[in-house]
Amino acid sequence: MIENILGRIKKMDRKFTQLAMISVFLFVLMTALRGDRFLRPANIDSMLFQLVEPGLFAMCIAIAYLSKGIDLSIVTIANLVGIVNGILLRRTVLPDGSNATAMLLACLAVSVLIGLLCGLLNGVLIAKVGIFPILATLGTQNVFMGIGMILTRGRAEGNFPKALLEFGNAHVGGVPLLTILFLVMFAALCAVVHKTPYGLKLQWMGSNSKASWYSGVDNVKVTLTTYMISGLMAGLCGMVIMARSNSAKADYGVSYVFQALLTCVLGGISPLGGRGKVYNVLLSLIALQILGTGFNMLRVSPLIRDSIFGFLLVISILLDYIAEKRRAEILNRRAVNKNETDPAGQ
Amino acid sequence: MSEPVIEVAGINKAFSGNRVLNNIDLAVHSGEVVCLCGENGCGKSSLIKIISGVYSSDAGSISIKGVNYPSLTAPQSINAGIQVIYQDFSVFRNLTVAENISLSYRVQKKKWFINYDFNRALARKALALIGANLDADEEIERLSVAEKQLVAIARAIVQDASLVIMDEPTTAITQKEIEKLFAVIRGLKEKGIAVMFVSHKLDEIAAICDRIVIMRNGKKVVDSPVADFETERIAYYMTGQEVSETPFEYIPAGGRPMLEVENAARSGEFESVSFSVKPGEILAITGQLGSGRTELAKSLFGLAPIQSGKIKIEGRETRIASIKDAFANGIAYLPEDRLGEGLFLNRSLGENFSSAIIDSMAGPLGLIREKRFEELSARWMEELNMSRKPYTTPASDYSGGNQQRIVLGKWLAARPRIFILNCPTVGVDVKSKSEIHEIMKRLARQGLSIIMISDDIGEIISTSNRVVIMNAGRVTLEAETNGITADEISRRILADAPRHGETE
Amino acid sequence: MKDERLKKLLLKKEFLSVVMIVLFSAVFGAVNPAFFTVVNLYDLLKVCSYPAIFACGVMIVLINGGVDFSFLWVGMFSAYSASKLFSILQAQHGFTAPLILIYAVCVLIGAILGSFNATFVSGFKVPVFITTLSSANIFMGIMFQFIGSEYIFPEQMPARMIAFSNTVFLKTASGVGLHVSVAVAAAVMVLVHFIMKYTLMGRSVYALGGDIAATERIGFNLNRVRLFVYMLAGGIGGLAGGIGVSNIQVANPYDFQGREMTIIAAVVIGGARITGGSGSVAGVALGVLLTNILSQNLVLIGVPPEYNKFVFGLLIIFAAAVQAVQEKFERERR
Repeated sequence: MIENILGRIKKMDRKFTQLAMISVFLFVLMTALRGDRFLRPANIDSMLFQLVEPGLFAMCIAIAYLSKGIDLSIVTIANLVGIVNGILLRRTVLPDGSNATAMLLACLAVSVLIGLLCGLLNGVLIAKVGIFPILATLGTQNVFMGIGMILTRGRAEGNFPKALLEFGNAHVGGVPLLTILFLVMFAALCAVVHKTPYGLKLQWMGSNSKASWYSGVDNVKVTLTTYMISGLMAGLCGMVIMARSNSAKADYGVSYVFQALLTCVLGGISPLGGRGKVYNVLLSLIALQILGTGFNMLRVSPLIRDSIFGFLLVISILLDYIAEKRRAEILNRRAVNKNETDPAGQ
Repeated sequence: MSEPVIEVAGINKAFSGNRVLNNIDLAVHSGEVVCLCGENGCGKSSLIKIISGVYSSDAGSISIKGVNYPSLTAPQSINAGIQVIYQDFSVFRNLTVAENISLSYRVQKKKWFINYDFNRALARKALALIGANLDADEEIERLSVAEKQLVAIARAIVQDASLVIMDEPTTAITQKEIEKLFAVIRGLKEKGIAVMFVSHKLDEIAAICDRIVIMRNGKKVVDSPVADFETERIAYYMTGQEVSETPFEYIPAGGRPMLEVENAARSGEFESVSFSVKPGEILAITGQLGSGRTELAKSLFGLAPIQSGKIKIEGRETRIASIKDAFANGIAYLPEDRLGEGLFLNRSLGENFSSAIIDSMAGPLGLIREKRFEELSARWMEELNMSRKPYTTPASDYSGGNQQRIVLGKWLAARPRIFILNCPTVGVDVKSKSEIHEIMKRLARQGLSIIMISDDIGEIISTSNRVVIMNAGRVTLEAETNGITADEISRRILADAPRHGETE
Repeated sequence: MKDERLKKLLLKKEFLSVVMIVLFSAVFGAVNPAFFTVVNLYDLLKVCSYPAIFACGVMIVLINGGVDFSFLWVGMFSAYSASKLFSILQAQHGFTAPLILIYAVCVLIGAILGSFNATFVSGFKVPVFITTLSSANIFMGIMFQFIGSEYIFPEQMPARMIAFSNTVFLKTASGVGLHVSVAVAAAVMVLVHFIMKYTLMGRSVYALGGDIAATERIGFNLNRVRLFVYMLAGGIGGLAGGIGVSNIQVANPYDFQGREMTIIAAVVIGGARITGGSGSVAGVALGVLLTNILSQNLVLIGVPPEYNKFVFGLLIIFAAAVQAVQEKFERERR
């Protein structure tokens, strides 16, 4: 039994073990440094809450990376969703709040719709028009933010119905409901990417788009689907932001994009496409969350925190690079030795 | 004899586990034209890259004009007078002709400031020297393949080269242009410049080379003056074996053809092409580069559909306008550039084998079970005689020949009725090559219709039962292979067909 | 022949921005004649000045084949450090630094930061935008942690910088002058144009952006070319930061934050290819001009300011789409 488990862990990729070890190490470190505050239920609870927004955005970036693309527009999609929903709620919810639940369900539908439409636009610009993902989503980022600005004149929407805020703060078995829902979505995405035909096609396209085309993969359809999924998740994240912060603003949380890019690279998803395991993103997310909370407790300013994250990224890229080089060298040496003992070659 | 221009000794090199060069010794003297031969993958390209300082060797010594270079870099190699014209020409698509020709000259001479008039003059002079008529201000992006090669040659001779290496310079150009190229090479020889010429074509070797060097599996196996060398033995030395393959015997089974092509045409590529393939046949299509053979194959796979004419499958007229149509009709296509167009290098064996049939592999809930990958990999590793490895192994862990088999297996897993193979054995080691031939023959005996595009006349004769020769977009010959000689095929391939704009 | 030439002109990457500038100017001028006044022109040019210098650096990196996200922090780091250094010297030692020294220090610091970028980029097989995004954060953190994060107000700023920022030339009858930073921007553009077009190192940047393997094969040292690219871009970024800070007369460390995209977009709109290998100073100038004409003057014709982002986004998509379609057309022609 135990051997079986050990065997399985050995089979797991190096990245997974690495990240798991880092997370555990950070957890122990924080417990040792500030155990009294770090392990307090309120702190654990807030960490679980804080996982959700960056986590959803990281999921968006993960699939974009796997397709050899990028989606810079995700945060603005979320904000747009919040703004439209805010206006909708402000105009339709009765003063006594009796229809709030119904309207919130409508909002959910609106979120999904807006997310999918925004993603579709990204996908069309990239797959049909042929614009590079980084440029296309830079453009739509401005467009979506612009629409939000026009709708709100730059002000924030807020004062959402109580039901939404209650939903945002709900717990099931002591765990925040939003976190549970996030984990369910995350698991679903892992399954979609690594276990379904679409997911494999996505990674093949990212790995070699010409070969995937020759294999009968409809690259256009895969790209459209990918950015629509990304948009959908960003849209749902818009609902989460509404529930958590009780406001929606066109330029909220712009730095989330950097954080998501970072989380995915640390999680071993290659921006060059077709390489990486989505489940590792959860681990890098957790590691960064522990680190972020730790910095908070040690009173490190958010700017310095971002800077240290930047360092981490460079170091992790460096380590990967060295590991890759070492691996190639070992293989070469083995080949030379092999040939010397066996002159006939393989 | 004079001091060698270049002398290498004991060169070794390996790439991610594959040893490509094994103790190579070689010397080239000034004014000498040396032919470097070997099958694709024998290591000659790596040797060239080491001589030009692009790769560093794992072991061995290099000396140029008596100077020893412990770790030769590209700039050192160029400054020492070594110029390489690569197969891909290595020209800059975003720069003009003049700049492409003059840039390396400026690097070598350390001319830090650019004078565009000088660039143009230099380029015109060099182009005139090789008799090329090109606009110096044109961007490379707009040039044809042959024109790009001319730019690459002009660029090499503009510098004071003492050794010019040409990596298969004649594969992409016409007979007439080859004559011009030979004149240029003779001119270089007269000036005392050594030329290393990579080619497999016997007549070319006899016409231009003084010495022949043959490599096989990373080793030098022949180094002899051309005059003393029995050129007929070249294939033996290159492959390391007498051609022992049993010719393919087609047993006519009767019945209607699987595929019939009638009067197919695509403007500028091919016209009035007709032929048919029966189940169990292996049809070879051959012709020079630009003869329309590759374009024809691609149009049968729906990549660039035919514009007029008919395609019938099992007697029924069928439209093949996309890869999807081709799939639906059981047509599979093995691309020429296998790494680039066929293989997902960093994905697993199981995924690669399943990539053409992935939609049919999903179980309940649309999820794929790992078990299916495992079964599929096991089956095709077995069928294709591959060394057993877990199905999760990335394709990059395999050698070139095995990667070829992975791509083959991926298409066979789709159970095609018609299989088009575009140059299936280019860049594959000898053992794998004959095994791939055996696999093809076995598949044909099982009733598959195979169309093989190939340049290799030996391969055509030993593995196909019928051959179609194309020239300038038209079929010029269709014949049974057991009634035709290699010479006849080669003559027909090279026959000068009237080309656009060459009427006198 | 004439047709051919016309076609070439139409396919020129800069052509699109020229057309759009003319078009928008005509519309703005028609709706509000104030658009065509010297005052407005001078204002526009002043607003464009230091972004245009930044854009030159971005262009160099883009030609070399990567999107630089660190340039604003390179600029702020250099400018803030230099301002702080010389303001301290001025306050405590009474040393009034000459202008040229201040800007030289800006350029130097920028070049040093650029060399870090070059090291990151040369070693790793990771897209440039990822490495420069990280280095941007690193630069920011180092600056806040070790140099400072408080504002440096006009009265503390090096006196020569303030004096410089009050200099104008080409005065009109009504006494309005063109700001001196425009002249600096123009000088930088001429210099960058010269370097990129008439020096071997400049051409090597184009070569590397076109074909990495071929660049190595003709004897360029790739790491040296990259070092040149990022140090030059860094130095230009440092100067741009210095000019930006002196224009505002306050060294506010948060001042440039979040404007990366605007400048990168301007460079792309000006015709530089996002995949590398092409781009020109003229295009950069046009791109910066175009984006600023829009953002400055929409208000003039009665469009509320909150429409700015939206219009800007559309502009990026439109320019990128035109480029993509052009390239598709070129590919199919062959």
